[in-house]
Amino acid sequence: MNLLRKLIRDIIKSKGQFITITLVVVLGALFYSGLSSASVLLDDYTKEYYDEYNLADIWMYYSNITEEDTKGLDTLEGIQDYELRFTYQSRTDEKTLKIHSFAEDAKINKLHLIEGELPVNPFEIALDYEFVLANGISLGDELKYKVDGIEVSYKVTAFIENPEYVTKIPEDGNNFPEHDRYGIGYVNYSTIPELSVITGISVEYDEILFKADTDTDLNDLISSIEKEIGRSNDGYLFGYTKNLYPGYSMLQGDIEQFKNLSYVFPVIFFLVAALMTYIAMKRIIDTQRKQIGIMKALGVKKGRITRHYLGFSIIPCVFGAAVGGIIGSVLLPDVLLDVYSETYDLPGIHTRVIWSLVIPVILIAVLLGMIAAYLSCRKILNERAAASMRPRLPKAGKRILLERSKGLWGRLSGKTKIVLRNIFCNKRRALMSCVGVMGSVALMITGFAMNDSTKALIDRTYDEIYQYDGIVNFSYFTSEKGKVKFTDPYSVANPEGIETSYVSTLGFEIKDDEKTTFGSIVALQDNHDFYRIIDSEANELAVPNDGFIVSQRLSDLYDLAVGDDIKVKLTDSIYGGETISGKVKAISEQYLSQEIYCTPDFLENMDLELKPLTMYIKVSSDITLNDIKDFYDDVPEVDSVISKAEQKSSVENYTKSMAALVGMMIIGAMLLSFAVIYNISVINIMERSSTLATMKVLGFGRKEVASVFEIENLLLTVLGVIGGVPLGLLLMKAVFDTSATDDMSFPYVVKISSIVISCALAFGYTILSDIPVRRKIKKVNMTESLKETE
Amino acid sequence: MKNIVQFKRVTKEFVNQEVKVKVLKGIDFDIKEGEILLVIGSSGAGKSTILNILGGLDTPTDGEVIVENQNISNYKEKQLSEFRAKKVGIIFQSYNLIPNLTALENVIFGSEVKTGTLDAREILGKVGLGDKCDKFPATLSGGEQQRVAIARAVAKNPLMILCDEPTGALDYETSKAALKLLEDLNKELNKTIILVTHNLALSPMADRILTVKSGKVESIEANTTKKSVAELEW
Ligand SMILES: Nc1ncnc2c1ncn2[C@@H]1O[C@H](COP(=O)(O)OP(=O)(O)OP(=O)(O)O)[C@@H](O)[C@H]1O
Ligand SMILES: [Mg+2]
Repeated sequence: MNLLRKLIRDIIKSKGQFITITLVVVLGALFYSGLSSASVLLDDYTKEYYDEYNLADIWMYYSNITEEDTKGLDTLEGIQDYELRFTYQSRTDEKTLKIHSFAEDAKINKLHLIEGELPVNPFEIALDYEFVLANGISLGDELKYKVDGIEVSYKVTAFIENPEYVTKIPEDGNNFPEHDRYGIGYVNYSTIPELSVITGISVEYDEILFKADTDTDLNDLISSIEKEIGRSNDGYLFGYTKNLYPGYSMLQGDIEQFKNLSYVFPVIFFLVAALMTYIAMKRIIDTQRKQIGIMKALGVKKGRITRHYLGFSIIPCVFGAAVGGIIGSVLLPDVLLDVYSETYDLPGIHTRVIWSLVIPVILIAVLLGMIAAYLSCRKILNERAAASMRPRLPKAGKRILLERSKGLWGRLSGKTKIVLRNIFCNKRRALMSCVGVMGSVALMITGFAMNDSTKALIDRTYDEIYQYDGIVNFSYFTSEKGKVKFTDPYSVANPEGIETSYVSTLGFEIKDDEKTTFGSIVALQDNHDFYRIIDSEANELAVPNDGFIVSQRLSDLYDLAVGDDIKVKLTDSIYGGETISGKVKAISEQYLSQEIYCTPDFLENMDLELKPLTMYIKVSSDITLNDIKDFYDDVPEVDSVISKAEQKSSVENYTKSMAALVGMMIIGAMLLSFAVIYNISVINIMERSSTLATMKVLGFGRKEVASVFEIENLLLTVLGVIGGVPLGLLLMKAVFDTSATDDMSFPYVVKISSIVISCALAFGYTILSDIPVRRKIKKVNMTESLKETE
Repeated sequence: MKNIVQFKRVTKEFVNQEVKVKVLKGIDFDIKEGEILLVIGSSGAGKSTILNILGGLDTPTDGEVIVENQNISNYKEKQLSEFRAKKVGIIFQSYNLIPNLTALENVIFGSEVKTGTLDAREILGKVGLGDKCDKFPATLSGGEQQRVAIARAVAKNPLMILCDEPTGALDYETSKAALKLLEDLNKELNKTIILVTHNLALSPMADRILTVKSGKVESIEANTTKKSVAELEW
């Protein structure tokens, strides 16, 4: 007997099922490979980008510094390279360009040339490409910008990007790029002396970039650099390691979140796909019991039969995984990168098929398919030929519970009895179908919950936690004609009609053997009008005078309970790497960053000098935020005034890329659920085709025949939905926990409407899936299906 | 005796892969109320096809099938299933019981499509399965299953009972018992029975015998020497 021919004929015969299994595998593979490719792609790309253009490890800012001053650095351990540069701002009324000088032989933060030629002559400028696009600038254009009030004219010679600005957040605005009014420019160093002549600005350098040797602790390095040319030098302002450098850290945080999401969710997708394959295989093989019996009776070896049925599942698995894997890794990253490119500028990133991801996906799919097929035919193969030629016994005598009540059971119609026995006599199979529905519902709930939670975290943060109307950010220092003055916020006059509360924020780093987390200590007066700290039950917490309130995430990550000591290292350069510790007094719910709260007194008692560079304000009815902004406009010590609404919308913007990802997952979950439920229906009907034909022969109308299957599917869906909701909530928690990052942790929030929609979709799919049932009932040929006893 | 069924120039063509096969080539005969009509003929002659058309499982390509003054040959699907529900009980060589229903439930289920049915338990008693009412088909022997199928067709109390080689899978004794059952039914309830068989030895039990050959009626003869099943041997 030619088994290959049988295989092909079998496949053609149950093509509907084959297609749906393939579809499920395609979807599983698509999301798995798509999301993981995107994450790998981003990761690889940024590593390569940073590597190729040699991103700095440390940025240090001075009011002025000379090459003479930096002599001492040559003897310091851990420095691979350092470069000095000059940074200043050029403005028009609306636009701001942050301009760096660069040397032709620069080794750190090298420019990625997109078009044109890098500036060689004074006043030639290379502009960031996003700014160019947003403002319609061409090569050779002349730009007139003011420096310290004096107009200067630049000639655009190049469009560039730079790894230090993968995201260009304006220093005086919200937390997202505004390419039309804020850009980055690079001029040849030869510009600076001439600029100085025109405008009178200092010709000295004010910034040093460092590249550290690999495996150097950057925080230690920054401390030793400070010792050398830092704190003793009056011109020293502050320094960053790249982990705190906005462009770098934001993207890294996003990539991390992406990575987390990209494996949790797709793995579940894949498992559902595997389960579906198993269910489908089991049913195909069950309906072929007799054929298997005959093959065995004919003396076909067990191995060959097994291979035959393995082929059955391997074909859709290989095909599905290959198609899904390849399409997924081309299509999904494309869509996601598109969304990412709103926030990040990653020149030259393009999607490609990452075979090292696709091939394992195919292998895993094949393996799962083989296991599924093997498990499903193992039992039959081990039966005697005679036994497997007989149709499978419904477990005789084993009645369902409901039959105990004779009166009730007797009153049920035969149809209902068939349905109930179908489900309860084949508990395991019914269970598997239910699990399919459960998984689908759980996936959809998780997807929707992700969306709800993102919204909730923003709402809670801005409506429940932040009670102020806006914040005023003071500049760290002001400089006038090269003379630097550190800001004393208390000396800045405030407008009438606002309440104020000064807040000091201290960057910190906490680490154990495996991980490091950055956050900030917020020194708050116990002033609830401006800022409410809440615990997980939304109870308000008072700021303690003798310890810290830490975030839930920090407490989870570093195993901190109330009463424990917490030890953190301060990262702001003015504290020189000092480590402080205190008791954990309470644990608070925080979503957007990792903050530790305490009172200013508590810190001052540790001999720390606080610099309140932020001021919360509450506005009375006599004055508007715009008035306040106008008021501070001319105050040099004030860097920016941001309303809570602006803050909120900037965070909403920030979550956009995540929203795209979540949206994609919701769509995926919906598609997968449909495929799963559809498949279950198709399998059900295929399996019961003899019952179907018999009912037709007996004279049951099409609707009545259909109702047997519809009711069964509906009942399975009901059971699946009942189980799916709690499973969905568990899954949601697991997904939220794994996808939390230091920048964003998700509250366990899911709207009732999301649960209702997920359940309704499951029912909707079930009803949709009845269409093939009806079609099949119409098509079934009574005379033919009764001829075969199978 | 009145005619309840008339076949008029009934033809049937099957189209298989663009090849037309004419299986019935103009069949004319009628069925009288309360008779046992035996349909015989060689394999492939078209017996099952005739029975399927009569049972409303299939429609003729051409010609008329009149059942109780209604032409069922151009019935739509819905009318056909109504027809099957109200007028016919069908027994096949394969028993086609619903595996998930007990013997009794199978019989009752078959009657759910119609009113004026007989008591299921009583009929099962008549076919000798009074004590096996609550067994599932898979736990019954082939003969027992066929008797359940017969009981199902009978309990429905249809106009006519169609049997396509009902005893094909049964042994001698069981076959005989099953046929006896049909015969009793015919006698006691005056049910019309159409019986397709290969077994010419059954001829004496029939009132008339229809012989089909290559899609045509070769002959239709009345049996003058009717014997009861018990007297037959083969
Ligand atoms: N669905 C079909 N498509 C094509 N040909 C068919 C179909 N059903 C039956 N036939 C053909 O019609 C002819 C008559 O078939 P039928 O089943 O009526 O024979 P029969 O007299 O019942 O034979 P047997 O005694 O072997 O059961 C056969 O030649 C068969 O091949
Ligand atoms: Mg036949």
